[in-house]
Amino acid sequence: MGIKVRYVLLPVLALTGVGLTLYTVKLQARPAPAAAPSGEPTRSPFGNRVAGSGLVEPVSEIINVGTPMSGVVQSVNVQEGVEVKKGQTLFTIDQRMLRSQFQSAKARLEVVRRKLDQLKSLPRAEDLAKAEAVVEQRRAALKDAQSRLDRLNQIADPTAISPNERPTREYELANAKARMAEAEADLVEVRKGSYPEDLAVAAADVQVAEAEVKSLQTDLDRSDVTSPIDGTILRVTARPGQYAAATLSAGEGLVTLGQLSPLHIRVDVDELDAWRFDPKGKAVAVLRGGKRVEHPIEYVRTVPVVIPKKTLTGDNAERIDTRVLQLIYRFTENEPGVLPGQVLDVYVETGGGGAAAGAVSGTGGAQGSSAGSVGG
Amino acid sequence: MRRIALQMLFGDSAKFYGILLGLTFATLLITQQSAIFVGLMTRTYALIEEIPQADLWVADPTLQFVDDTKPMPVTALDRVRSVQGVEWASPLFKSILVAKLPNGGRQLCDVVGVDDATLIGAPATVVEGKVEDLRKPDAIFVETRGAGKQLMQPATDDPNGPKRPMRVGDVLELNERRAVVVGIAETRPSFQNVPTIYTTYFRAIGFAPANRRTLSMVLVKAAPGQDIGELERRIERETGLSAYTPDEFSWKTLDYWMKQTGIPINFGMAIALGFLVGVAIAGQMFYNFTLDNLKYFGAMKAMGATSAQLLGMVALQGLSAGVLGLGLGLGVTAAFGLSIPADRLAFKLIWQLPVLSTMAVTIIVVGASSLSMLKVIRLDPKEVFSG
Repeated sequence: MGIKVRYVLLPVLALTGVGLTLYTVKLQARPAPAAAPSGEPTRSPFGNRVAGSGLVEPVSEIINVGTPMSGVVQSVNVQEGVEVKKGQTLFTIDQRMLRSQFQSAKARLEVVRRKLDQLKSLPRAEDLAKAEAVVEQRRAALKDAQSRLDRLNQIADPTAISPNERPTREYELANAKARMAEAEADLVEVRKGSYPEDLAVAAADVQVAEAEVKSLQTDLDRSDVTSPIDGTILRVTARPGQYAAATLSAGEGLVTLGQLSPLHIRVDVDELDAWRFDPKGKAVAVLRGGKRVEHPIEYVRTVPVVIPKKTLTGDNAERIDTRVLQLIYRFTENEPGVLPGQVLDVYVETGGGGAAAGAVSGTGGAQGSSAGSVGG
Repeated sequence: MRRIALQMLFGDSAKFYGILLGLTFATLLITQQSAIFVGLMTRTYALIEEIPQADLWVADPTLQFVDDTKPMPVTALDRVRSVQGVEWASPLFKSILVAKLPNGGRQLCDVVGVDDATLIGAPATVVEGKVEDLRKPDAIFVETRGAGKQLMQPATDDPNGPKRPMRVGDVLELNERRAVVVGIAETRPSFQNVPTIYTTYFRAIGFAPANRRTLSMVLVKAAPGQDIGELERRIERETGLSAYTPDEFSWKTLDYWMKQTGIPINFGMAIALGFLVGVAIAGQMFYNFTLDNLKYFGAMKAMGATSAQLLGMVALQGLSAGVLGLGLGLGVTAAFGLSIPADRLAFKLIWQLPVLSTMAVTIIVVGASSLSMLKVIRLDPKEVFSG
């Protein structure tokens, strides 16, 4: 029994142990299963290239329309997605106060205009006739005084008249002369009409009132916020009854619009790679995830200043350590499934290879094409 | 002759089992301790093994190991994509964040953010849910180990009552942000033993505290036909970042932990002790066994057996005891490793370990046998009979 254990069982056990060990080794050496990617990674069709992430934007860039004056939104006249013409009303700020101010300004204008007309209508015929009648009356009185003095002078006997009689008649004549002069002066004044200074003051009053009406008209026009371009409404955040402040910061708009045809793509390229960029290189934009679609794009321009990469972290003490060169490209045709605001991966073919080959621009094309076949 | 040798060995039960036990024990100690050591060290680069799609890992040059966080600016991804020979490049976010659990508890979690578009880097073995569910709002995946351990939730209304593993639909908070468990995945255990949470890259950035640099690593696939080593050097030259093959990255990580912790010394001592036990018990007993049987060897020598024949007998005895002890020891080790679940104990038996213990047993047996053989060769038959 004991011998059997030692001759048979132990070797079998030992053999089993070795087998178990080999099994464990094999089991644990199994490589990890790789998860199938749920979307195709974007790949570059070019061998030598510069890659960047591109933000799709309208050719007009995105226009955030604000309001020139603060107030309550009275009505919103557009919906997201509709096309608008330049000058079409987008939304209206409450106009009731402006309208009443406009009405009273117009009434004031009427008043000052009437006043001017009144001044201009002088002299009136009635006043003239009256003044002329006064002159006639005074002339008659003057003649009467003159003839009474003349009759006194014709009496030869000095004792026939009292010594007071002559001076009295002489004063009466002087008085009548003066009254005559006064009436004639009155007639001249009436005939002349308004003073030019008064007319000037009244005319200036009219101008002031007219200017006020015009300014209120402009305000009324401005409270109808209109589209600055022909384009498509992208977003509407204005709601009737909401208070709209005239001090919106950048990036906020009550209505956002842009011209969607053609779409542009703003590509961020790291400043360290910027020197390799070649505007003449072919470029594609690749949609991220899902079905991989390559869109050929055309170079438009380069933003001539390297700017900090926009990464919003909300930290107001943040320092910037990433700067990017922005390139503007254009979709050669409007691509289905590409919308403004979308982020795409962009690859731009470069002439040379890496740091070493970059300087040799003459042979760049040949290098690029051979590398491209490797990449594809 | 061989029969006599084996009868001599197996006949003396006490001594035979002593020798066998010693060798088995030595093998067990050496193999098991080194397997645990290897298992533990493998865990340090579990994440690298978890994402086998990547041909290269690109990281900040000052990165010391895979769990280290030295984030890069986000444009680094585009710079890597610009390098010729890169088929695709995918971003990876990795950071330790504090999660507030549904029961109010707090737990450090390792948050891994994978590319939003392709989900490259997401766990391969999904137990519940679908990987695509990561695209749902606030979605996260947890792994089975964390879900069943640190992330356990009360099963009833009683907070001190029985607990259940975290499951799909549970809602956590990561930095005051809502996160909904949409799936459970099985992943390799990590060295730091904190639960791993998987989510998408941009959501992970949302969970993490404000940071301008958010890109932890870039996963790179080489274009077909592209030489990996050449691509690695090209990426390093053109971007100034460091690129590693999975193997290099694993070794770099391993190297960091080997140098920064006392783990290698601890396990080295345990393995050395195993070896000493083998030498002390098995070797010494085998030598004693030969000494005790010296009289029989003497008798056989007197009857005309040559020294070579006698040495053959000793060698056979040593070989038998060694093979049996080794086999049993390995068997016990393997059974031990298989019986304990992987998340309880780091145990990884790589092919080098049985070879190592075989070598150790060989040294013990050869050493003991050599001493015994010396005794047999010098043996004068006269002594046996005169005694």
